Amino acid sequence: MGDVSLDSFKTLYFTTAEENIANLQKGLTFLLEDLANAAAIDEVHRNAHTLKSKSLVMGYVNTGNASGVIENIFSQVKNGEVPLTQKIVEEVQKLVNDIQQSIIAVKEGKTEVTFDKQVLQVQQLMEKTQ
Amino acid sequence: MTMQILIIEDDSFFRKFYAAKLEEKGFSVITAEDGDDGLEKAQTVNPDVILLDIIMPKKDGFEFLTIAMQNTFLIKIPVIVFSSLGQEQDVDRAKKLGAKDFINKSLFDFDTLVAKILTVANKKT
Repeated sequence: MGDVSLDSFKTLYFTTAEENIANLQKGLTFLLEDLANAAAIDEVHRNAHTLKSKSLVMGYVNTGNASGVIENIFSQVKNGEVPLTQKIVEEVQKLVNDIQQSIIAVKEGKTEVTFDKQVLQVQQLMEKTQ
Repeated sequence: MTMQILIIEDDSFFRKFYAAKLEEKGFSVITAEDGDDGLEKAQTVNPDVILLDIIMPKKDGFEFLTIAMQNTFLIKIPVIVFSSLGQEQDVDRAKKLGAKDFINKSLFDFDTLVAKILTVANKKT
């Protein structure tokens, strides 16, 4: 790799990842009030997609994969393959909060958190809903 | 002459990251934050290649391609779409709309990206 290293983009990663988390939380809050809010569904989908991609670029695989799970759920919702339920939104909210805590930990120099338990709960819920 | 690349990407991390990496490789880079901004800048600067994100606010990548491919000026500028894992259907749709190629933006493979840019630029009509 040349002079432009991934390390030099860490600060920008954390700044924009925090923005993605805030947008996810805002979108999910709107969805708890109105599950058919198309703009909020788009917002959650887009921010999960972006957080997934940039986390994978930076090597934060757990964050990337967990964000990818949220992206997939909202892709299916957008395509009409799965109805969005209050319970799904609540479980995704918990996962977003876990991802936020992990990003804060990594920013402080700690190890990235694993999200296996919460991801499994969300995926099991999706299977029941389909 | 330096090749000019227009990056259309809503996320500032990816805009700045890809701009820095491509400038490091010797390209001149301009950026746009969404499809509307991208359409305006593409017509103003006439870049050699456009790198286009698919999922964006305002006009997304599909809307950009639909408009660009109906424009006698913009249709001549080759477009490479940014994709990521699980977006295979989106890539197919973008290619049907006129995109020349795609690159997985999560894989951090700049040699492949540069090769694809040079290939599509050489085929520019």
